[in-house]
Amino acid sequence: MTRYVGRTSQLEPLRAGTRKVRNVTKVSEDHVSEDKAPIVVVEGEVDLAVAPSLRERLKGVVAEGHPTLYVDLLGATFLDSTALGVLVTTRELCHHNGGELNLIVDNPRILKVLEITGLADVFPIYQSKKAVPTTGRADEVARDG
Amino acid sequence: MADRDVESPDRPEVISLSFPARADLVVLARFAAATLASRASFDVEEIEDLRLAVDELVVSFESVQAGGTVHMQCTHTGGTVTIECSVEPGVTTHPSEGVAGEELWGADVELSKLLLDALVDEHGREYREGGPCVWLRKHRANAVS
Repeated sequence: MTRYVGRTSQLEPLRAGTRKVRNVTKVSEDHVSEDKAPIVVVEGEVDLAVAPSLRERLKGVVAEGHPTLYVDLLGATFLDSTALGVLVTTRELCHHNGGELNLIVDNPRILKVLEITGLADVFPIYQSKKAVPTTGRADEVARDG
Repeated sequence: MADRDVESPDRPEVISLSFPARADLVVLARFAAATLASRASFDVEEIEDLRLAVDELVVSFESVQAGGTVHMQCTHTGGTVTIECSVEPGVTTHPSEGVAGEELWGADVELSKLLLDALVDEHGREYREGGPCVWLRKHRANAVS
């Protein structure tokens, strides 16, 4: 399992014993799902101030050879249109490279934002990390029609 | 300062706020709006809606340059919160805040509009004294009209 230090400039594999790093952008350390796709953990208020570093982070993960990845928003408390824009452009990048951008969301406020903008029907959304598939895609979160 | 428990429709409560046009300070706009919404007895869902709406309002400017100043006025009267926002261009900036005139942000207008349409009762854009002014209005759900 490869883990990454939460830096925006580049991703560095964590050495054994290295402390986990949380940076000021609230994009914290990454994990790898059972299907070997990276999970980027995003916490706190994801707004205009955080969007640029999030964009670089996600672009970096795709550039590292991971066209399919998960963005864990379980710890996110606020998401605005600038953050949504980053997710949309990253999704396009993932598709261009033959992959998919998946979201892990259970916060009703975040889900509401995705519903309002129509993006809840665009992204594969999982309600927990346990729902992330071990192989292929798991059932997506049931959403209100 | 108005009494929180005694609503006075004839006497608006006004909060005026100015801050440097910096992405990391947009949180101030959200804080001011949430504070006034709370004083206007909005419920938690309405306060959260207003927080996101005012964020979208601030980031909805097509272009904001470093060195500018964001001016915001929040008014509460009779269960209705009105927020107006404008950006005054600037020519100087602190060295740590980037180059004066450098574009700081430009909105994903489509997503912002979808969110504003859903979250507030009215919103709009007009030109005043040569510059754009964006505004929104949200009524408390149980407000007497």
